[in-house]
Amino acid sequence: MRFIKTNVTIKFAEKNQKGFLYYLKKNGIFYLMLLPGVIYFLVFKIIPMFGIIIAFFDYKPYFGIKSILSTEFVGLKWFKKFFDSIYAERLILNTLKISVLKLFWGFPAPIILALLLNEINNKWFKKSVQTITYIPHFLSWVIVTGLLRQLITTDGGFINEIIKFFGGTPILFLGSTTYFKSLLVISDIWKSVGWGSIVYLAAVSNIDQELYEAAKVDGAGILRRMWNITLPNLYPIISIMLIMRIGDLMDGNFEQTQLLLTSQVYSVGDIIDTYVYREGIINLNYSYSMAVSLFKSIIGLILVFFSNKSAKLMGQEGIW
Amino acid sequence: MKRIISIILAVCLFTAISGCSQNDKSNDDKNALTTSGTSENTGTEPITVVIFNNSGGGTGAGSEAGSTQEAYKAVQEVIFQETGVLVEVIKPASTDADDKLAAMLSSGEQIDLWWGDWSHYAEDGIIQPLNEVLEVHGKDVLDIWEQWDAWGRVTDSKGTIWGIPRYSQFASYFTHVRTDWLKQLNMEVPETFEEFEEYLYAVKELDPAGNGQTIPFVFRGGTVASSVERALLGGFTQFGASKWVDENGNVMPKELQEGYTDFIAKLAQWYQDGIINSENFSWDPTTVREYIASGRVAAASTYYTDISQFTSVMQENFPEADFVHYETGMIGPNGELCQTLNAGSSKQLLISSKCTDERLAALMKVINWCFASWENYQICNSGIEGVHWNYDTSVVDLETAKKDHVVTSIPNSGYYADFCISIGLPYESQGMIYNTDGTRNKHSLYLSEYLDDFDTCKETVDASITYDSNALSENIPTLTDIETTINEEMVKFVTGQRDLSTWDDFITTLYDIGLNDWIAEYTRQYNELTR
Repeated sequence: MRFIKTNVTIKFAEKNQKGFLYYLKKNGIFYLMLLPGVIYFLVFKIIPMFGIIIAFFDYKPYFGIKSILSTEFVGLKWFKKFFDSIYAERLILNTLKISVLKLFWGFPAPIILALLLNEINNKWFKKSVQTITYIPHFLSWVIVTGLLRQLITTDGGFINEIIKFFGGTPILFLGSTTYFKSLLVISDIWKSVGWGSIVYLAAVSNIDQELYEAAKVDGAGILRRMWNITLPNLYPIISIMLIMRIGDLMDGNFEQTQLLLTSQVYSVGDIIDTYVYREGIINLNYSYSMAVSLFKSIIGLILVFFSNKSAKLMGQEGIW
Repeated sequence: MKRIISIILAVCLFTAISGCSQNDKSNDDKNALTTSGTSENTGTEPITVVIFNNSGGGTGAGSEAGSTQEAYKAVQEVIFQETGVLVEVIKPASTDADDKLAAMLSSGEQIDLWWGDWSHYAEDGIIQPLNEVLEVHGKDVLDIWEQWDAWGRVTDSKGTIWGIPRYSQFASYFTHVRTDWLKQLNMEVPETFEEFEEYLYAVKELDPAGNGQTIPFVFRGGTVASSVERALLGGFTQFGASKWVDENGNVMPKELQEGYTDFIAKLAQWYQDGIINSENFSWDPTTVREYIASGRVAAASTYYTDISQFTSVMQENFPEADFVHYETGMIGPNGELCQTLNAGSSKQLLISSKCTDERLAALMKVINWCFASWENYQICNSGIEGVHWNYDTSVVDLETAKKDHVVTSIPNSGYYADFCISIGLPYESQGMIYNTDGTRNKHSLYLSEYLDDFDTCKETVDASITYDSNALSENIPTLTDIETTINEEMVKFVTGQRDLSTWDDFITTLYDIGLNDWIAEYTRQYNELTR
């Protein structure tokens, strides 16, 4: 065996010198701009997570935050109290039913609105419709429910006056177990459809226009273009929005429900949040409120994991 | 250049965030707190006491923004001159008073006095017993509430006094009818339930408001127990809207009284016949008041302030209209009085356990001064004579006005009872206010003439008792479920969603979900507290 001496120098791969500090120095100003947001999340979202432990203590608010660990540890007492209630099943079912209805009817609504708005050629009209549909988002639920009550009251409300005009009997919407869930869903859609369509409109604006032109040349009509071009390009964002929406399935929109709830419709309208408000917040039993909220959050987290996994298995985008 | 702009933007962002997190001292000037929580008398500085005024007083029209700083300081100065104690008041909005109180107590801010249910706080050591300090510094307080037999509600079974009364029993749920519509119908003020029912049907038939707009009968919505029970149940049952004690000595819920189903059946019939508006159960007190003020209501079984404070609003558009109630009490089908006395809320004046002895003595000195005389009460409640109110000599002479406490407020004077510690019937019932036409102001009339008209009502069986809410919660695990079930099912019975023939099933359900625990615990506490 002969060895040939050469002057070849083998260069090993250089260690990457560009660490975090390098980027901090280079882009320091952006990190500085990011800092308030990070501090905000740290102070108001991460650190308060410590407060979750009051769900396992008999916490009294009067002694301050420092007293959390010195109050009596009660384990799963508050969870047991909730599930021992004869209304626990009803509350969970009501919450889920209302959320699923809102998901079923309310989730496609902004997508459909975005699709329709995308087809409008008249810019002025398009902007006007967008503005009008955005406005309800900025109204508080107090105002929206007040308006709703005026519309549906049997005492001269617009809807019932129309019913009477056509010979019908006025309907007690707020006291009827038949209509209450529909009221919640319809008012929720009315309030959120405009604002919710923004995300989809933004996604639609990123679609290559040449695709539409090519489709037009091929003879595709409006609906065909929507179905074959617009919608498929929206799938990733729809997938992400759906995952986030499923995570909120156990949240029944407390404010809206509490403002519309009457004793006549408790059987269909009383949800976990309204029950916890009565039982926990009003009676200053924060531990109990936290326990039920924790239960809801855990269910929400499981649902988010599940739906994220499902989305990925179906070839769509997930949140992570 | 871009970098400089970025730096400037970042600095502006930081400044904005830090600026927003600062307390606005100028806005809080009126309610400045001594945040050290240990403001002791150093010999040069006066002792400062802080009151969280969630008493519910001073909530008339125009009070939403609270007293002006000038008015606040003026009354504060008078109290300081009289007692040597600087009193600071925090007056929250009524909607979030409890939340704010809890937040302030938990954050360690100095709150020396507030209104609340002593049983919530005593066990945890948040408030302190008052026996000794009352004996030494609170003689006037003791005397005045003794006359109203109110100390029982603030005393536990061991004789410890935990608070100063805010309420005593009083008559507050009258049944009112419209005088102008009575006249149209040639009817007298109903003194029996049958006469009242006759009036309701007659006025529905007449429809004096026109176009079907007449509302024959209103009550505070939500539940049957909210007001109509207190106003009318006594005419159907022996004990009215009160827990009762059966022959075995057990405390029982009012729903188990004989005659209760007759009462529910009557309401159901009224609902069916349109006497009760189909939406009444969804009306909160504000909505009820709006309807009363609109002039469309023929009769009302509500809390007296709905009538006493809103009749004048109605009369702006309907000058001839007025509401009256029975003179001697309405008699029900069982031959007994319909109305049940209001046992009053469980809210009392409570003093923080963090109050040192010196601050406690100063605080009690202030409280006692407030309760010492009507004149002192008037300063706390209405402000300074000549600045915020005057003796009303338009109807009586000055001497009589001073003797009978005939007063009139000065419009827009800017004071709204911030310092009213001595709130309650003892002094509220002593004032008189006249309208410009020489007639008695309705609210003043109720305070001085009707609220202590015990002859028109049945007594509440356990009026002098404040049940320990913590013990109730511990020993009756399904307490809320029982209350929810009762409230929900009563509404269903009245509105026809559930037939009265299933009443026995309803009672069985109550027992299944823990009514026996309810009876046992209430009986235990009742026996202990009445020993």
